[in-house]
Amino acid sequence: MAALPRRIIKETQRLMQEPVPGISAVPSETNARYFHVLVTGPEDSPFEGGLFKLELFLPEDYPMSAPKVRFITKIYHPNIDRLGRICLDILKDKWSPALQIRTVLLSIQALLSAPNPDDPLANDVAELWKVNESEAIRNAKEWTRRYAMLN
Amino acid sequence: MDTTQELNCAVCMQKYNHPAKLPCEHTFCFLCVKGVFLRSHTCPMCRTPIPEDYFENPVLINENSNTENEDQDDKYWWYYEGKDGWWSYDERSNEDIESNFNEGKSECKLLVAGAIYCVDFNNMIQYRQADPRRKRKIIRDTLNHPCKGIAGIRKTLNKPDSNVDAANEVTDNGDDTTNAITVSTQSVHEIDNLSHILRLMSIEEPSASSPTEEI
Repeated sequence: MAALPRRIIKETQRLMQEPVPGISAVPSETNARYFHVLVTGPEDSPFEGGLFKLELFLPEDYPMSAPKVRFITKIYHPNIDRLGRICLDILKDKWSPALQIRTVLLSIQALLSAPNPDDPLANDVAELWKVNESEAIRNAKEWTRRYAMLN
Repeated sequence: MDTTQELNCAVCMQKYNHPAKLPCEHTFCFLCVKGVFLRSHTCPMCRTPIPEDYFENPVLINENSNTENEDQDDKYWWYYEGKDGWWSYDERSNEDIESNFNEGKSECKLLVAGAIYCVDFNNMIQYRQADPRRKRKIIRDTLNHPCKGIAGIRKTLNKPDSNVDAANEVTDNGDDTTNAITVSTQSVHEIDNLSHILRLMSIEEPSASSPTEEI
């Protein structure tokens, strides 16, 4: 089978040696293309104080195709649905092979700081975010406390 | 910032391998940017559209000429069959194939120009994983094996007719990474300073014996 492309090895090493603040990505012991990801909720967002678990998978033709990323921790966010799927342009049609695991995860962290209810994936959440933002933020904080603060 | 980043291709994150410069001035390995082109047609750095005819005459720029200047005579190279002759694999794929072969593997996979290729050592063929019907013969030989060029970068020096050949091959093969890409005489001069490439390209005509007999 194919050896792990050197780019993936390099990215993995750099993620370990120079981790991005608030983000950790560790490859699975059994599959070097599968990463266990932890992202801390950004300050001054309803997700602050939460620790969110995600999974990231590098498809066989990465970096020509985008990584597949999904939230495992439940999160109340207009661009993330109940299955944890993320609506983010760079994971879809705006992917560029010059992007990397770290830039993808930074973008996801930024999405937590700046929810975009006009491009929703979770329609009910987005709807509430638009008509009653303070209630939506209250829900997001409650979900963060309930699902993303295990200790 | 990582100071080595600018010396590396942003797609493969390795030292440039046959660097090609796009009109927007961003540079990538020839095979990397070709893989990008087959999918998105835009520069990975700035998303400027890549001209449709870019690969008819890519701008190949100087590589560091100090790479692997040592004696290559005892080294083996891998070649795949093109329409009217053999192509040498690019240096990086060659290294991967050779090491898998030496480890006694029966096959290996390569990511070349955005597509996954299977190299089958038992049958000495390669094919795209997504389209196994289109098989090409491969051989392992010395640097002196007759070939048209490297990974679709054809040498056109003294061969004015080869433009036509290349155009036909592109049409026949669709988006196959092994399309013949004709580079200008000037571009060939620029990459010629790599001694081993010069060696690879120094033989113009295929020998009389059929290369397939060596499989």
